[in-house]
Amino acid sequence: MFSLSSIELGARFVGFAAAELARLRSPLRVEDSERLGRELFSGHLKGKRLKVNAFLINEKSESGLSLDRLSLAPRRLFSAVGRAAAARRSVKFKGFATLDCAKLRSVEMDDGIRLDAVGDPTLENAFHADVALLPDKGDDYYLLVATELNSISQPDLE
Amino acid sequence: MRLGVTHISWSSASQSFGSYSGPVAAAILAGALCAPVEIQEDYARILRRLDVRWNVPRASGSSFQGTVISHGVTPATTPPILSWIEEQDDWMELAALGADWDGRGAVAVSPSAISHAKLFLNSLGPLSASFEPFAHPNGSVGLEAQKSGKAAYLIVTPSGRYSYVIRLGETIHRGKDVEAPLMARVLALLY
Repeated sequence: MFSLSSIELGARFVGFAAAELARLRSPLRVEDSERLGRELFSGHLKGKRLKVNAFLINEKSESGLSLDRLSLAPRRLFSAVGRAAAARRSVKFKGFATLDCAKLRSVEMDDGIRLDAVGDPTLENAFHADVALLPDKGDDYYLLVATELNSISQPDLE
Repeated sequence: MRLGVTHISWSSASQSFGSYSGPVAAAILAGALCAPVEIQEDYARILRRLDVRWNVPRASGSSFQGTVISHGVTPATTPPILSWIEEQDDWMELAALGADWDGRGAVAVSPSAISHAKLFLNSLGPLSASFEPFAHPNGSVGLEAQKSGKAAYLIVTPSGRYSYVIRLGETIHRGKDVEAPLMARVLALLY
């Protein structure tokens, strides 16, 4: 069962996608000017300071970093999705770690790979985006990604 | 118990407690003596960090009640004992995180990883004070330390292996799957 917020996000995405397609652009293309947000839960903050683990992944269950395309829909909808996800898991939703897509794309790893975000709509959040990461790169690689993203992000708390 | 190899000096202990009152200091020290062994080791670690010199008073000497607590030293930064309490909170918070704490399928933090991380920090001596723990979504424990122009991030797995990223200005060193002694040497060399 999906929340009203998820449904509203879906409806807004349909409108957004139609407008983008009319301009011969893919709705999955994330513009440099977009503001992206990583949902924060219990354990991602020390007081109001972001911990580096906000951008760490569990390699066994994730192949990339999940982000919300915050600038494309009202913030309250993303927050509602975050709160619903937290409630299902008995954790607290704390807000977002926000960053500009242009800054994300400026991150180049030591193996020459540049980070990039691509739209990846889900049923819960049609404005979901993903930063794909190569598998089996080792904990130190994903840790480096996390430190890079942490350094260009700001907490935007509830 | 590791307290046995340390020397207690009641008069110098007061300096380390800064502006704290005598009863507070007495309660903390009494707590150390009554606590379980694990906690005592933590106390011992923080006391070593505080450079408190322990000289156990002789039975014929003055009792603890007779010790004068000096208020001459007021630390400009967070008092060490408060930092220590904060640090203990960090560890308790970490241990309390259940499965899926990050809302994305995280594994609960492994008690074994916590033990390895604490042992490792104990082995670092004074440097350990600058490290702050965080949970890794794969069940490992992360450790983070920052100082001017430098940052060290470690991941301690439940099996006691280490991955690290050390930043020295623009230069980055990283490595994975190293053992504790090598990790300590890398830190000593780079951080």
